Amino acid sequence: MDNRDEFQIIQRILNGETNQFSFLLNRYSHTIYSLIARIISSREDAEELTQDTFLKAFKKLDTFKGDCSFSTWLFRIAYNTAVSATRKARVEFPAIDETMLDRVSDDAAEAVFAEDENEELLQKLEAALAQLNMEEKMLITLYYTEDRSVAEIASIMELTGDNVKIKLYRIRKKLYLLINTNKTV
Amino acid sequence: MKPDKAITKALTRQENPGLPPGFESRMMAQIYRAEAKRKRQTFLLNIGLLSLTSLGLIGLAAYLLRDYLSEIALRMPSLHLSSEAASQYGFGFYIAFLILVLIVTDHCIRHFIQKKRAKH
Repeated sequence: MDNRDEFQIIQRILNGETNQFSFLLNRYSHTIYSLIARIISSREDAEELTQDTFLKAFKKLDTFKGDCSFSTWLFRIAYNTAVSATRKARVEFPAIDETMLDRVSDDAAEAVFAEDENEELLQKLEAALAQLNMEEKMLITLYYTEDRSVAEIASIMELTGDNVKIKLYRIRKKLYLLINTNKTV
Repeated sequence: MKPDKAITKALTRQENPGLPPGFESRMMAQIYRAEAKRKRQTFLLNIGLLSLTSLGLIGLAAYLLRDYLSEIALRMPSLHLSSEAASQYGFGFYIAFLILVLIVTDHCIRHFIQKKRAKH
């Protein structure tokens, strides 16, 4: 099913064939749940937010103009839903001094993250990933796991392309700092 | 930046449980409920608008009947068209025709563009 087929399905839903929504649900429910589960710690909340995302998508389907892919539009709804939920819950994440981030060189981070066979590093990295805030988790999940381009991420998170790139570089440096802090502790 | 293999691997290693069974059917039930609610709301809104419009029209008719209708003497007007008035009427019809043509052209162009967009 490509973008054109999806657009046709959306038109049919808007023309009253509500049952066609199950195609979109079958196609995206696991991706959306998996994305939300990565950025929200509670599985129950992730399931509820996935439901909210699809319900919002259904209610606002007439506003989808096809200027981006349906998945990008759906991811944007999922992200905004998760942001609203987190804002209500007032979750706090550890902050890192910006000057410390500036001191980390890109080359050092690149060298550390280039290898994926070091079990100790991977375990530290998993612990570090858990300490990222929601926006950072969303960015790296979209970039590394969902394999989205910078332009698509920018569209989903309503940022500029340059902003996405800068944030990705800073997240990498933050992870580098976090794994090294964990080493010394 | 992409070959940060360690980050990709650490992310994919994180436990990612699937959706609970029956999620899609439960979700579709919610969707049908939302659709029924929307239809009901639209129906009520339409009824409300229709009632308001009808009441307005009835009120207007009552007002007209009370104040004016009794004073109007019904007679057929006799029409004497001078050549000057006829040319003015002709010009009026020409402008109306032109507007009609423009509206139809606009509608056709919009329809064509929409069709083209839907194709893409």
